[in-house]
Amino acid sequence: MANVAFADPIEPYWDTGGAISFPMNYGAEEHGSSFLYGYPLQVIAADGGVGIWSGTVGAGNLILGIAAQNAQNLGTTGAGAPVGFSPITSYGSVVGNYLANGTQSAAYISPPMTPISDGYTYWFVAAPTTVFRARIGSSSGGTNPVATAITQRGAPYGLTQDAVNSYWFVDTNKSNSVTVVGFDPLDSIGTTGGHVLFVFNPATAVGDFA
Amino acid sequence: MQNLMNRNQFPPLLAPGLRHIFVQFTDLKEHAPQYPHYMNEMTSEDAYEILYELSGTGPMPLMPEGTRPAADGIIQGGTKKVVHLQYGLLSEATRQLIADEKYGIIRKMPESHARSGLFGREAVCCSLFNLGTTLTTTNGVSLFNTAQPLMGGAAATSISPNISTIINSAGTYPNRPNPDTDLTMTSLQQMIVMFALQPDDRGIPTHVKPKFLVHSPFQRRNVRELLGSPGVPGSSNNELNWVQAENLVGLELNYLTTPNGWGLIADKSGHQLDFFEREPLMAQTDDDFKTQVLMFLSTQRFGVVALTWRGTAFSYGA
Repeated sequence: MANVAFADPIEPYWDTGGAISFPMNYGAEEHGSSFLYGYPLQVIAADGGVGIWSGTVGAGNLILGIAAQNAQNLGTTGAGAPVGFSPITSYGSVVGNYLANGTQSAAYISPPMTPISDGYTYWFVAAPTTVFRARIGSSSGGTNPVATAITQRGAPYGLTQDAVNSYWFVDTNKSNSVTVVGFDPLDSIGTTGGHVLFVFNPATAVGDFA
Repeated sequence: MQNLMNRNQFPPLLAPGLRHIFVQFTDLKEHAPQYPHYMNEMTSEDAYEILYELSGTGPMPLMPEGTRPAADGIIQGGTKKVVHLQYGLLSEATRQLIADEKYGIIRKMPESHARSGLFGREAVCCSLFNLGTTLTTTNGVSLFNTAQPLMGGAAATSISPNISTIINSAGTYPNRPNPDTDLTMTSLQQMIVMFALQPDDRGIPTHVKPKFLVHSPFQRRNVRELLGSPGVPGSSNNELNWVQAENLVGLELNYLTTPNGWGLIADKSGHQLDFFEREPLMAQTDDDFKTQVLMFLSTQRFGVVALTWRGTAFSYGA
């Protein structure tokens, strides 16, 4: 079966603790990262940067949470992050910089309207109280959407990256990282690739290492 | 960190009879703001500001009769994008503590936050010195560097008069001793000369004069002797203390983290150490309805930047 693009960004949906917002955290972004908003993230053991989750479940690959912004493709891990009480230590953005002249090899022009970069990436913490929302599909025979069904509530599933558009979805072909706890009321039950609500299994996620 | 304050943590505040409470955030005198002495203060209404540097033209050469003149334009330097960063501090106290506390201390939390907020400003501004070997200016190298690359390149340093013994490499000019030195009459003299001979990026001498001698409290005696002695300190030769004529003013900063660091900066019009006030310190209070916890939140947002190394020089001590 051919792959069908259907996944979209995973997002926090509500907080079971009753708070009106979702716990967030931040950390030095792994260099060269290209993840998008809504991707699951983990600590990259080699240098402690925060990058895209490997897809492997368990120790050494615990999920920090879901990316709250696109990656910035930093040249070095955490490039420009403030050092204690300091300003941002780089150009303030990493997109579109170009050399200013021929005699100052490190002088760059930073164009306006490019995204601000402070060297950090931010994520919605995979906390036990945060319920996330994602589309549901299966990695069996390619990555394709499946229909929501009330029997999915309480079922253990996994997360897989859409082979076409690269977003992540709740994968009924796995049972190792998330538990479906409900359904997005905007998608009627039976919707193919509809949004389900889920929480991360404690053994899968860091929760909050702040 | 003492975040949630409740009655169990402050039992003496719950009963009358205390003769005196020494409250550090009100009874210890706070330093007056120091950063306004050396930062150019501006306001901002944007997420960030972009600063830009341009050179002038080079020296005007001979134009022999009947020949066309030499042509020259200005050169662009780099930009600095100053992103205003948010700072914030939250303190929480139970409503019971507020209600039962007899001395009105806890409700003064915003006063304590004001001190905390000022420290943030001072520390970030002073980081220009503390982290001056890391933070970069428009030319892309550190604020304090033994070789600030000039837009005019080697042509600039070959044209500029009398700097061959000052520079460390062609096409650059230093604003940091090589190697770093402690503050002495000799090293101060060398830095003053370094200041005085400073050319622009095309090699034309500039009129830039140091005003402040920046130092930590460790150097107080040293600075007062160097700037205030009628004769050269430590000399028995009855030499005039020539530094007095420089009219330098000691600027002791309590937020320097280098005990032996010292430097010279021009007055505000002569350097580009900039502070952008995006949102002033604002104190807010609110209740968490369910838990009846009173929250004191203070925030501020500002940006600090060194646009250029011009008008500054610093040594981190031997």
